[in-house]
Amino acid sequence: MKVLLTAAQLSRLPVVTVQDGEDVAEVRDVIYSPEAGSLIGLTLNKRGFFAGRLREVLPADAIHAIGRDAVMIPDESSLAEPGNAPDAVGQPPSGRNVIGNDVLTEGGVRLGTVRDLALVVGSRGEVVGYQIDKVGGGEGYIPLPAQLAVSGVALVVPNATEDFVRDDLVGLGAAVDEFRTLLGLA
Amino acid sequence: MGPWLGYVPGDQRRPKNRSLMSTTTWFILLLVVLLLAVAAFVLIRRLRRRGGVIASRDKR
Repeated sequence: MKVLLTAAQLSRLPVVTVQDGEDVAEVRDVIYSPEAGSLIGLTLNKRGFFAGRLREVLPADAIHAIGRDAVMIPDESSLAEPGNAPDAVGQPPSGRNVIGNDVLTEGGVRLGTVRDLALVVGSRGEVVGYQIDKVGGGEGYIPLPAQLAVSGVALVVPNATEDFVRDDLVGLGAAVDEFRTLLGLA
Repeated sequence: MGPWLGYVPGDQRRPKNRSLMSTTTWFILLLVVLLLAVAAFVLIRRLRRRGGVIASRDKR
């Protein structure tokens, strides 16, 4: 079953093994590829109120399923040491957190700031858009692939994105397909 | 009435080596400082556990 979630909903979800039902970690950072629109992996926290960061990370390839209430992995060996994981997950780039980024069109119009990332989850994670705080107030969603450039400061999107800002996740679902068709990516 | 905390009725002067705060007040102050330190520790710990959304440079 596919579910539309935001990264904030994914964060703090327990990571549970399918093999023996052990709750081994909780989700910390969501690492994604803005170009490919795919989930690359997750960094983790240890379980427990005071527990800190877990050294091991979880590459997307090792995820069995992502659901509304838990991230399922086959067993504890799915967690990878940073050295054995893909670089993007093992050593996540610093200064590339998109939350709070300004969303600017290539024409120089500010649409708002990034509040969250929208993902379709199920067996794997697919990034479909960004949740933004609109300049005029309220929240909106813009479809991915919308950005021309992304950094830790700004998200630059095509001018056409302005017409594809939707007010809810349901609207985003339809806008993604429409936007991809417009960009010739569908 | 007898003497109370070093104060002798009729003597309006403060005894020279008398502390401004009693032991109880110091104890309460210490407790408050300790509580604030614990609260700050917990808050920092919780904030450090918050994750982010990281855009990779990976083109996959």
